Amino acid sequence: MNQMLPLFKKEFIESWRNFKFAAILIVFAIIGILSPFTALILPDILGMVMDDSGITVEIPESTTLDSYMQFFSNMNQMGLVIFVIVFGSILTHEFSRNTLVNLVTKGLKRTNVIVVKALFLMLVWTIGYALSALVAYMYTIYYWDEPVDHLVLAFAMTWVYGLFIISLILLASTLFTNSFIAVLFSVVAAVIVMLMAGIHPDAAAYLPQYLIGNNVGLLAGEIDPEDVLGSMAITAVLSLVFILLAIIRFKKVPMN
Amino acid sequence: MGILKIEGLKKAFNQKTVIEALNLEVTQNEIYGFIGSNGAGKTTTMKMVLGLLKSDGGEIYVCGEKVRFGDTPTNRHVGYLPDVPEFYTYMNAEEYLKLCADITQMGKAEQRERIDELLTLVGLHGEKSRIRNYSRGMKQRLGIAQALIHRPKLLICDEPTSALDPKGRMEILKILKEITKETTVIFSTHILGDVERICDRVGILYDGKIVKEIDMSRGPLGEKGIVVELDQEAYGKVAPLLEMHHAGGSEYIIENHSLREIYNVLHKHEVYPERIVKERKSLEDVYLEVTT
Amino acid sequence: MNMDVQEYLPFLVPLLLLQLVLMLTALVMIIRQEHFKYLNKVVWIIIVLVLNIIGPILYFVLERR
Repeated sequence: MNQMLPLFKKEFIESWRNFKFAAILIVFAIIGILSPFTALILPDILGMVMDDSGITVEIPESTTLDSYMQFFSNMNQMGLVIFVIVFGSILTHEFSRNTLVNLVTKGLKRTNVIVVKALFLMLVWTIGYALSALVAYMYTIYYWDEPVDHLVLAFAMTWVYGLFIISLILLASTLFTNSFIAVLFSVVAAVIVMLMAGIHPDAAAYLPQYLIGNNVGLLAGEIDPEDVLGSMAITAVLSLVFILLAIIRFKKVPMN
Repeated sequence: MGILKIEGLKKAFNQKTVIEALNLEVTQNEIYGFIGSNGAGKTTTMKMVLGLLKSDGGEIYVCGEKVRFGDTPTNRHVGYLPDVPEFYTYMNAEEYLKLCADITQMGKAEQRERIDELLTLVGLHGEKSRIRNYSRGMKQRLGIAQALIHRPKLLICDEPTSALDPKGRMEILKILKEITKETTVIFSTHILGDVERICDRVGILYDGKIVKEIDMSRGPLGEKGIVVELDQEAYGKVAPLLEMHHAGGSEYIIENHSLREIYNVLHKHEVYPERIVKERKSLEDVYLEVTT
Repeated sequence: MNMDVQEYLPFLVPLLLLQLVLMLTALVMIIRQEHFKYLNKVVWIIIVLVLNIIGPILYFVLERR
């Protein structure tokens, strides 16, 4: 237990001094600003394009829903991808540079390594995502001022999906040890498998992927909050299982 | 009691046996030199002692406790200096040692004292720059400091001097010699000169086993023979009478005759060599003897 | 059009500021770094200047491990 605090501090110093922590905060803040901005200017741009081509069509003003649609589309794709690229090597780089050997040979419990890395990634993800969501929310209520239902749940869906991706990163890292590329491929492969499994309508609602495909559907009232709970629970359980598997596997990883 | 005891250790990589029935015992406060060629299995053996690699058979005991693969509690007795120690390069030496001390769960007050003491020992006291900017020698010295942070009973060093220039090597050897007051040191190397300089005992690893153990404190390693320097003509005269073999240049080694016999023969034939010397075996001679 | 830009300032100002922080930090780090794992100083500076957001991120990921 007492080993976790210094390890956590080390992770923080690491991502602070190599600017990864701040970089992810900046990128997420940019997503938070860019999303409502895109929703706001899109009708204007469309209008200009239409005028140029001599077509006169009435373009509807954008709405709150458009703003959130932009946010989730940006966050679920660009945001998560950048997060994985920036923080996905958190364990593999310790293998490729052999930096854990000194600590493990001093009696550092390997379980603590995985637990601390998982907690740290979750913290970074939570802070970054919350910042992004908050920024998007503030702009949206300022510019549109129409309330939507289930906003918190819609935000939570992507957040839980992010936790799942974190557990996937850690499990893949313990399997492929020093190869960040293999970790990236594992995450991509897992997403592809989920997309394929999701073709079957009965399975779709219980896959983690469902969470990042239906944020706007929930806001628009196309699905009910109860419809999300299944995949939410499964995603949470899967994340926990992945972390546990990562811990078990990591205990018996040879270190060269 | 032995600090480190290895019994019948085995290890193979992809069916290729690297270590086979290795036995070894290291006692308190000695410096044990573990020598062997590159790829002989020195590093592999050390990593098994540290629980970093899984052995394929045999037992390892540190301070009487059995080593397990994975998190082995025996590591609290052991300090390890890898051949190329890697650090978190965005930290400075003090921050890194603090992290190490925290991992070993040392109290704050003791930490400060120990870190000061170690930085002074390895000559990095007051060095404020980040490890990123360190030279190989500085990293090796910091490596020793981190390995000693928890006052281990056993310090395992893997090729600590191999990548260093002569000055850096001397510094490391001096530090190793200095710490044997509190710690037993086992270090691997293929630089025999380093071993002769500081080791109490030497084990030669060959073919997956310790093929020879030498107690360096017992004095000379035995006679190599008598070296005589003879020119072509003189050699012709005495060769039929003395059993000798060519050692290169104009030197010949005589093994099976006493000095007295040799003098008699030489005198009789009026041969007066430039040099006659009774030569002792060097560690290198012994090493070559047992590994070929 | 002028009206529009005025209207968009609450978005544009923070966006530009954030990108500037990202870019300047990367530039300062590149200039102070001596050994690069991939590419070299000049190429990295160009990448960071030309590729918005992605450039600095690539630099942090690839060169600051």
